Amino acid sequence: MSFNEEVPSPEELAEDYRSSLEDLSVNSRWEITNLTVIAKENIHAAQAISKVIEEHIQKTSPLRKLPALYLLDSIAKNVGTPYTLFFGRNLYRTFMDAYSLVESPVRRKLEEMLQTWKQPVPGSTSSNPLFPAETTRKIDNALIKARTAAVQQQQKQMKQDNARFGLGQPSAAANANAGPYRSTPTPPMLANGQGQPGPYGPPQGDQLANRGTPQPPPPAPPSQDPAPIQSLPHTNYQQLAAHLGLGGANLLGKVPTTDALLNDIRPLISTTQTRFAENPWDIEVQKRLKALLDLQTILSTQQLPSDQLSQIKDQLSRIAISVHVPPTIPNLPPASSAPVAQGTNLAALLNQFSKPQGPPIPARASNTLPAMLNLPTIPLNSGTGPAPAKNLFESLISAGLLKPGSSTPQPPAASKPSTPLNAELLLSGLMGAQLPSIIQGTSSGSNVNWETLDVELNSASLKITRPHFVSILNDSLPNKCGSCARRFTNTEQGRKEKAAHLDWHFRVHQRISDSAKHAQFRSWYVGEEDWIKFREDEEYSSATAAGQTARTSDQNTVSTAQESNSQNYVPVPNDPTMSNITCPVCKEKFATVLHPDTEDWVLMDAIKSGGRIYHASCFAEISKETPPTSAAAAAATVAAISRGSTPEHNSNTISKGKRKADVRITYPHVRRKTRAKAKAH
Amino acid sequence: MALPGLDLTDSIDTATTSFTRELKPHHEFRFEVSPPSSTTIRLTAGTAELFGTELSKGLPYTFTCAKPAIYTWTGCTLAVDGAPASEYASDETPMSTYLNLHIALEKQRVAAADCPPTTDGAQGPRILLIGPADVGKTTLCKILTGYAIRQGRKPMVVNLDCGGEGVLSLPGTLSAASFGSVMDVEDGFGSSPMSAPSAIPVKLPLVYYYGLETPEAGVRRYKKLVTRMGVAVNSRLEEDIEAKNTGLIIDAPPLDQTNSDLISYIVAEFSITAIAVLGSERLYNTTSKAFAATPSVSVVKLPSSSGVVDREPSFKRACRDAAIKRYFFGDAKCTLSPYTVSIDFDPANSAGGAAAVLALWEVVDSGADARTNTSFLPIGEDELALQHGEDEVRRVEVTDIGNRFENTVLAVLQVDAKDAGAKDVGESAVMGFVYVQEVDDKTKRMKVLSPVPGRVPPKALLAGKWPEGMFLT
Repeated sequence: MSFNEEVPSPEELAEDYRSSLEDLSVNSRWEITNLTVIAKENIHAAQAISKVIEEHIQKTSPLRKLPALYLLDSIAKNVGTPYTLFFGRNLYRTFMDAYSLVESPVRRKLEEMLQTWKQPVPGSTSSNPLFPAETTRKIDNALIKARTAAVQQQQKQMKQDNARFGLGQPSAAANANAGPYRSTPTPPMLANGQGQPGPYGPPQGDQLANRGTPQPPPPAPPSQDPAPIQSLPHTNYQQLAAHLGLGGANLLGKVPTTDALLNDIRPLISTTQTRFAENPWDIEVQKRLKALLDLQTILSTQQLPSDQLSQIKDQLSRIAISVHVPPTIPNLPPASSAPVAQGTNLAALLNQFSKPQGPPIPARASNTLPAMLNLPTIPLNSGTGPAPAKNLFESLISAGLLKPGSSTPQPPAASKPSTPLNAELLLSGLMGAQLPSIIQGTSSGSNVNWETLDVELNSASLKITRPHFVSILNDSLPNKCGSCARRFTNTEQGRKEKAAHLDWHFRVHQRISDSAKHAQFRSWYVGEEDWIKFREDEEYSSATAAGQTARTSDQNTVSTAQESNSQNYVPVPNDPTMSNITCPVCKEKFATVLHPDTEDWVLMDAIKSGGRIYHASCFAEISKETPPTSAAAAAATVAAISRGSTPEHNSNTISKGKRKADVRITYPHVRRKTRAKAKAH
Repeated sequence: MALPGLDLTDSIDTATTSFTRELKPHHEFRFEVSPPSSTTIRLTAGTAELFGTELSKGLPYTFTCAKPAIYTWTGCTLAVDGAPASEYASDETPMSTYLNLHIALEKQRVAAADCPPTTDGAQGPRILLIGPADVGKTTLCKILTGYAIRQGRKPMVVNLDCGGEGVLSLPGTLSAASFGSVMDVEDGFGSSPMSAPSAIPVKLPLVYYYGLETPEAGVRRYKKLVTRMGVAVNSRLEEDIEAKNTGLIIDAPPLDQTNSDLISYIVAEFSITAIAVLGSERLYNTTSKAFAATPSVSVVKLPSSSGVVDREPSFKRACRDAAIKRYFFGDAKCTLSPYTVSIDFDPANSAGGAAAVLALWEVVDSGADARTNTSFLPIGEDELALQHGEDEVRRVEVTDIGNRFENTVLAVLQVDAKDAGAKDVGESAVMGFVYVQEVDDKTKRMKVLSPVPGRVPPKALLAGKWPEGMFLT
């Protein structure tokens, strides 16, 4: 690190680390890697950092425990000692506490992770297991006990089930359960596509890079039960991915079996799910995921003829390529254009291959096409960025291989609900994945002649079944929001409203992820007068309603107090380790008083910014010192230095926003050090 | 095994069935989920709705304590995950009748919207749903509300069923709210405002605390509250033309032919234009006779759904407890943190003026117990009771505040503690609720769980007999 004149103390580092941990809400490889790198760089503070991580795992909400444990796993595997020593001490408690609180799918993931802890780190020379055997054995024993209890319970349940559904059913259910469990990729690398370069540079030399190699095949001894089955879909997946780019036609030559296809779909789904988790409002990803899931359902429920299976296989190959296009390439234009371009790629390829009248083009075409078009050959499985993909698409159009309009003919599967499910329809859904949802049909609602409708408010008239009424119900507002079923008209105005509505969803989603950090509470109801005056018209922000409630109701509520008085005091942090904190600027303690309004202990003259508490006056001083315009730029540099390599992450606007917030936090923190130093001199 | 909840969830999980269910058009998928387990439903193809609110394709919906029914007009495929206590598909539903009812109402709404805003014609249909217990009144209320929202309307929903789970509030309350945005599929009517953002827009209710299980138990106060509610709702509708055109949907408490007086009262207070009678031929006959001479009110008879199940008292109780819990602690989507606050009710301390005056009132059950009890009260209180003889609420003296209030909810009213009389208290709207954890009559302090941080506002508190006490953890 280049600003090492003054090494931040472990406590400060730990504090920084703690606030970064609070942002770790989803299983994002990028964030986990970043935090791993930070942990590695600050190895001198290993004890403090591991303590912070353990505390975080213990305190965070059950939904966030898994990513936090993955971080622990990632640090243990990529950095090793001394972290493994520190984690190892409390591993039983850390693991079991989390295990007892999370849902069962997460439990399975934890169990898988535990399996990998019993083995040496892949790629390392040491043959010792990651954590000492006695530690993991202790956890294992506890789990076995729990499982025995569960099995007994299950047998009871099974008897009941047998009585209800007949024999044989439970075992089928058990099998169905076992499937997804075993084929789940090794947890920490979940988000990582095969051959995808890690998003961070290899600043630590090859050790880290090696250890970070995605998805080490579990080198389990044959005696271990889940291993052989686990490796099966895994191999398929690798084969598929490897084969796709290289264009070998071996796999495609055979007629695939349903099982094989299912195996192929699963990793795609999990990858897409991860992407979806990173970017939940990306409609494209959402649709793709949905289509994949539907396809999975169909494959597992229906018998399809072999030619359809091959067709599906082709489609999957295309998608696999697109899914594994790395989300980031170095010098890319604006972040927002990337997903679009990528989607174009998907659509282009899909279209090319699913036009029913067109001759089926073999898989290697993905390689030969660019060559035919005199484009530079692009290794599709590793280096293809969205930009070249877009070129490809354009070239395809210009070469007449693809009609520009041809991406629109099929309506999305969604708009034909009454058609029986079949694979082709779904495939067209997959193709339509990047299209804006096209609502077929006219806004017939406005055409309904209400006056002539033959229904009256009397019991006899209500009894008559009138099938055409259903369309009145749905079609008067045909333009439906995909995530909350709110409906809009098909007019220009309706589209505008819908766009605003989707924006609202996005903002709320962002706020929801932010709000998880703070305690939330129910607002007071309003009185009659305020209620009569209240309008939902600006209902797009739910905060309006809440805010209004708070404002109009009693002034004692802290929500208003927070608005107006937060400059003056901050509630005393619950964390006992923070009870003696000092202002990072002047290094003096805060005055702690029992505040009469909140009936709570507060730090007076304090202000909280980015997880740190300052004296209000000190904070005003440091924020005043730098003009705001250059601050951001300066802060960015500082952040880049302090975090080692800070990879740019462009596919996710949410995390980008967060990143910015981070930067702001880092900034006063670093400045403060130079100030403190100046004082010392 | 010492891991909390482990054996139970695991056993359910290992017995978990994941299956898909294809529904033909006009079929309904009914299932029951009892509290410890949960069932997740995803719509994978087609369209489907839950009590009038559409499901979004691909989104998982998780149900914990409910007996929901998912209906499809066009056919659909559902992916079910979890072990519902029972599940089956049925094609015998009254949905086409309900849809007819909705369209008939919608027809009136269209006509209302065409009228100039100030005339009487601009008044949308105001429908009252009545019937005995467990015939699906609340369900029909949800369906009609959901359909109206789906057509871009803004229905005003009034819940007068004090014995039910409450709408956007607690059991024992009467509430009204304008529904301008979609309802929550998983959570019935949705949530009242919180400090946290919510993916389903919150609804702002007007709430009155009645505090008894049936209207008969305190019919005079019930009627007063209905009047107050009627005035507020009418004023609101007068000022909001969209809501006025859409009209009212009122969910009544379980009523039968003996309650015709109360029915007429509600009809008059809310200017009802239509009464839908569910599940009781006899009630339909009495009601239509009663309103035969009133052409402005149409009475229709509706079949109740074959999916309507008699909910056992224990299940209803669990649902009420869950509603209280949800008020304080939120749900899986949004966890709320209530605050433990201690209230000092020693009059000696309040003399200084700074500390809050605690004014605790109590709903009087005009049924037997309250009257007889007064004769056993200490002399002073006896007089007080006589003085307030005809009141439906009475002040609880400081000496009388004891542990009988523990584990119950108290309504925080909108009227100030200081100068409230019995009339104000009896008819005041509600600001919120606190839950009494502990009463210490020696130190004259009580510990309450307050939804909002900070001191409990110096408002009058009202204790009721309904919902019954519960342990909130």
